[in-house]
Amino acid sequence: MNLRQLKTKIKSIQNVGQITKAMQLVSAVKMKKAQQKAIAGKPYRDALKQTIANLAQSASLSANPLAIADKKAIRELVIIISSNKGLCGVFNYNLLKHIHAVVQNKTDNFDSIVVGQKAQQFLVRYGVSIIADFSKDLPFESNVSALFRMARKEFLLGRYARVSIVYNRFVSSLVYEPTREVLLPLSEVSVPVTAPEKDELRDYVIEPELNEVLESIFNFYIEHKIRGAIYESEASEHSARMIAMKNATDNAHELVHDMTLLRNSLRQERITNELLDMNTARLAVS
Amino acid sequence: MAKLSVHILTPEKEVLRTDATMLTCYTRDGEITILPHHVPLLSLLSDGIITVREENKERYFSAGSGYVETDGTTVRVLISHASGQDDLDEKRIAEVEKEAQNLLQNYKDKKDRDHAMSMLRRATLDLKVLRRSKRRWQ
Repeated sequence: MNLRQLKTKIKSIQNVGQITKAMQLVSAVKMKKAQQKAIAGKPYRDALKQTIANLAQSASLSANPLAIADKKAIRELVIIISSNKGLCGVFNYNLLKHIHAVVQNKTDNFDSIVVGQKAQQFLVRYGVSIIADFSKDLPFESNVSALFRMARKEFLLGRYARVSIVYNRFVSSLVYEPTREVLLPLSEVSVPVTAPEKDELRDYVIEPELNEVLESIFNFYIEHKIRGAIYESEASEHSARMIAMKNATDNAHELVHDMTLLRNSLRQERITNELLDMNTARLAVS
Repeated sequence: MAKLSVHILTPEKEVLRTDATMLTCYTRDGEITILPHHVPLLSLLSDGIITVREENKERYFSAGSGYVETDGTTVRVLISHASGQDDLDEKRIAEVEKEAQNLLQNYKDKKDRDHAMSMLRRATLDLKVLRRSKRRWQ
């Protein structure tokens, strides 16, 4: 590589580094916002889950059509929350790998609702049929009620034995993990086994009317579950992107550093050669 | 004396977590008051005022719909929104009220009207909360 080529290369890497640096900063801001949202809603969602768990212990749960699956149905509806944009490290890759592990090539048994183009592109190639795509409407959270209504309707029609949601659960700025959680039927919702504080089985007095109350609490629960998943996925996405961009910036700096050393030594070599040339020319003339 | 540990949550934030002696709220069927050792209860809430009485003071919240759950020692209130007496501003509420009435007069579309009605209901509630807290503490 000659000196001029090297110089242009250094320049272009520097430019890329600047761009990734800018993207990192943008993601950092977005991440803060998304994280706040994800974390602020957490106590609410946990409390909802606890209520559902309490309800599941008292026997009243089983009467509701949302709680039990149609026995004839075997297929599963998966709601997949990915991102529209790339450049966020292994964020989407891990998610899709997780989907692969869930589906295990039995694509006929699964239908999907996707949020985010990355998942859509993957599933088209993978062969899981997509019954709805909510990638176009931004922000994703504006889709929650439509998504919820759709999932609920499909389940109540008895087409699916299970509705689950796959998303990147937000753990911390550095850690997120692809997770699959069952939304429906509610009897399959995995509840963290908290030892009941008292041994007596608490049977609730439910007012005004059992089914009405259950119905509306279940709806609350499912809707907030979806909303929470979207918030957490978004927070994970921005953290992932920020870290990916930080790595890219660091790599760019490193490359520039190495190449500058190389450029210096090339230049030194050329100067030495020129000096040698001049010396030999002088000797030849005298 | 027995205490209730009260926990009021909305999707945006944790509004209140405290020990109280009494909590009053509006269910679909009417106003109920929960005292310590209440039977386990699960009930739906409609828009209304939530009153929490602590040792020597009362707090008021204007609350959206949701549900309340209790087992006699803890009360969990999960609602769509809640604003305490300290967050409310009388001028702002009056503005909202006016806007809602304006909307009601000008729009015939059902969706807009519903929206305006809920705005109005909320504003009225907020006002009630403010008035009530003022009356107590003057």
